[in-house]
Amino acid sequence: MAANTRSGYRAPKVSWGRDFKRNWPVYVMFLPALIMTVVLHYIPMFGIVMAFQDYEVIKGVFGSEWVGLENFRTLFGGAEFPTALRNTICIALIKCTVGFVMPIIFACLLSLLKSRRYKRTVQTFSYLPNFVAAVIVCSLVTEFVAKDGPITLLLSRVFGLANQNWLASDTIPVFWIIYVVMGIWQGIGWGSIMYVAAIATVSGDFYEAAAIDGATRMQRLFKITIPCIMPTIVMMFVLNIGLSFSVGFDSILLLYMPSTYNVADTIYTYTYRMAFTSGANYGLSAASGLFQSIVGTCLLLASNYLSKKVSDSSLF
Amino acid sequence: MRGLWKKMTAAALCAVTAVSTAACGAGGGSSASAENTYSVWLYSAQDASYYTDYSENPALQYVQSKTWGSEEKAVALEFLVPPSGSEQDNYQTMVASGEYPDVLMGAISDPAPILYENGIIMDLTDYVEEYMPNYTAFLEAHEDFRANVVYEIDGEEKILSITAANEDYPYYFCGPQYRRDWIVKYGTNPETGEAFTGGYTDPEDPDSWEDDVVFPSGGTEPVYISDWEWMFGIFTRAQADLGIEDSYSMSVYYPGFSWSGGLCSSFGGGVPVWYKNTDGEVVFGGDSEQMRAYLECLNTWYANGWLDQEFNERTSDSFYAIDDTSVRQGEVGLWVGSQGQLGGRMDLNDGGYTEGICSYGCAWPINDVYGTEECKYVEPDCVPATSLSGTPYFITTAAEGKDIATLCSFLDYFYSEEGALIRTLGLSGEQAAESGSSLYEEWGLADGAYSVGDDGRYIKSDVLVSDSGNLQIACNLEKLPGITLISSVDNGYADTYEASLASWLKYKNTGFFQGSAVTNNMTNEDAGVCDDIRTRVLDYMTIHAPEMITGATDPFDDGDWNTWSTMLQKYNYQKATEIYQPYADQYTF
Repeated sequence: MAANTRSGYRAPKVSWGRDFKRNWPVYVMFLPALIMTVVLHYIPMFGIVMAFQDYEVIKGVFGSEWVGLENFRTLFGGAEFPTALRNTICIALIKCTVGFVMPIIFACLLSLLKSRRYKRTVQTFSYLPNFVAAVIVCSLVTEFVAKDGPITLLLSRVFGLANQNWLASDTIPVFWIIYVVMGIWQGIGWGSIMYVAAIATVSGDFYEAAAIDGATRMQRLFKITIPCIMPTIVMMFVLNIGLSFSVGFDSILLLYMPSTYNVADTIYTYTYRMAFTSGANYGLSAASGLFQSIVGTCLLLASNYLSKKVSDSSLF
Repeated sequence: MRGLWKKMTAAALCAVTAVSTAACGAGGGSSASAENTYSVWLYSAQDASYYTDYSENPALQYVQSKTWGSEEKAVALEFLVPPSGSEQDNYQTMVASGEYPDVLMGAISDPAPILYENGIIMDLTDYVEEYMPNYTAFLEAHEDFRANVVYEIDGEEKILSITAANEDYPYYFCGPQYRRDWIVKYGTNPETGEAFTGGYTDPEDPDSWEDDVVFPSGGTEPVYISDWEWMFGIFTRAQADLGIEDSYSMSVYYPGFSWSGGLCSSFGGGVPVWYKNTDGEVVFGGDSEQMRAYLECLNTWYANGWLDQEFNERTSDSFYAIDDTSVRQGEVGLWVGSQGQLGGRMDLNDGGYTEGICSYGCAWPINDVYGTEECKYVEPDCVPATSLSGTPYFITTAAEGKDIATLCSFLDYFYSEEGALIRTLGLSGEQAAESGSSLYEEWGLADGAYSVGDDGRYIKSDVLVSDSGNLQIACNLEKLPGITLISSVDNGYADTYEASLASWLKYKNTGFFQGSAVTNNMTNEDAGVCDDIRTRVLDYMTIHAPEMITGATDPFDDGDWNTWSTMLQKYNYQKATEIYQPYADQYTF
């Protein structure tokens, strides 16, 4: 539209009814997506009201008592909340840096492979961990880093580190590293799909010209591939930032223990313990969810703004 | 020709329908009318090895073939069972949507007063009085059972549930047990210094163990903490002799304590949360001298290597199966285990550490070593215990249009001796044949699930005694309300086995009231406040008690103990204490 305005051309105004009459198949195709979005994403937002109620299943949303910000006071007032917040931020930071970069590196390395068959095999194998249930991945990690686990023995014999159950270590940043590395192992293949697809769209002419000019493969990677896929990287980064505050619930719940709460407890797990250990406090849970959604939205907007400013590339 | 085919097809369909209908009848299907057909929500499904739908239960088919009430009507039950793992979700959905079954098994439900207040369940007072004479008689004869069934609402006593009952206090399914064979082999008489003698009199009988073991307290069973510590010394010698690596004498639940009682009640009574003391006062035990003595004891045991050095890492282990692999391999000296681990039942006959094992059950000990005088020589008063009352069953408002009187008459049958027998053990041979079910015959119970002994007690069938699966549950009717016979049943236990089970009930629970009539009668608001405080208090203790035990902080140090106490006080536990007190004054448990 902006381009049209710049060139002085304006599309003739067409009424909605006329446009519908002419393009009704397009509207019909759009309808299921609209209904799904409204039903699954907007109507459930009504549940936010639970964050301000002493919600009881029996009484329902309309019968439960309105308590204002009490659930938020309870959430933020807990003695362990600051620790959970710190851990959430730290894990999110590691995920957004180390965890974010790994799939890009993997995709770039894949693009450098000459053998197509080998490349596809590696890609396929890298996707597999994504389909393994969290409980199984956590069980594997628990076994691997146990006192007599293979990784522990490797660290102990090769690097001389203590022979201990690393998941029981409350030393910063042991748990964070285990958690992030586990996430990388599970998601590196799946996470690289977007980048592999983006790299595939880069014109071969660029590489050909660079090769004629004598550019090495690494130079081609840094001078052509990465700049060309930068919009994709930025888009993924902005989305990642938005979701970063929602640090995994199930995996941490499966991996942590009371002796490591000080390094492993996140807002999700803290809320779970506070809300569902004795009875079920849906109000507190909803308050925590709302808090995380607001923080996530703010981070999304901020990262999008910064990205626009710095790289002139943004999600919206 | 086409007409002939049509007729043949129609005739075939009629035949199939007729055969199907007849088959339903043969299977014990009831001829109950719609108003006498009730939907029942069960918390858990039956073992699918025997049948997949509880309506196939032979005992149920037998009782459904009878008529009930003054009008002699047939009753039919249809069961709704949530998929395993989604019971809570299923219940919440049911409550939130308002689509209840006619009968609700209350294993995970909200307390009865809350369900009644919200119009979900019916007031059964009049029905019970008129149509349930057996249930009424049991209520009148057992005051502590009655306390769990009768609720005071708006100044009126109301019966809101038909609650399953035990004829007597049943044995608890698990408890502390220790390697008696190690005591014999590696211990010596504390007075004479002579070696103990003992062993199995019949190698084939896991309960035929006999010995001459004497504990430092003078008896043949461990009574005091000092007895336990004496055993730990022996276990350490045994493990060293056998070459067991990374060994420990005793396991403990991962937070280092059990908030419902047990070992932490051995130090002057009470639990780390709220309990009722001998003066009838509700007390918070988390920052008490008793709790400090408990932590001092475990801190010492940990430092001595007697306690599992990795106890706080075993967060996924159930309290009755901690480090189960090591226990079943015979590497642990004392643990909390189930009935099936007693005697020589864990002997793997593989030449390993379980070779010749004999596990004896014992009572929780009495402290005679740690803490102040008030923490010593006091019997535990908050211990895992069994109760006369079982699962409540509610009749919901969804059944209002149905024949409640007949349903009550039907359920009341299971509070009679005859009905309770069917509910507890199952059917006699004749009844099984009458039920139309082939299950009894298929599983070798053609003569019935029991016989009657000379003393009038019911002797459980040998097939059921030797069964390691869930055959008894498949044969009896324990998923419906009624009385479970306890003292009237001869389970065929050996004396040593029964002594172990009895030791787990040596001390009665008179203090811990969570889950009893005291908390079940609380208003939603009061329960919410107490739950919130308890969650926070337990969260703090779960994080910091292991530190006290492992030595990261020191329970012997006044500074560390004051920090512990001060933090707990910040959670305002006094408020919960004040809320609990009037309920504890009013209700027995």
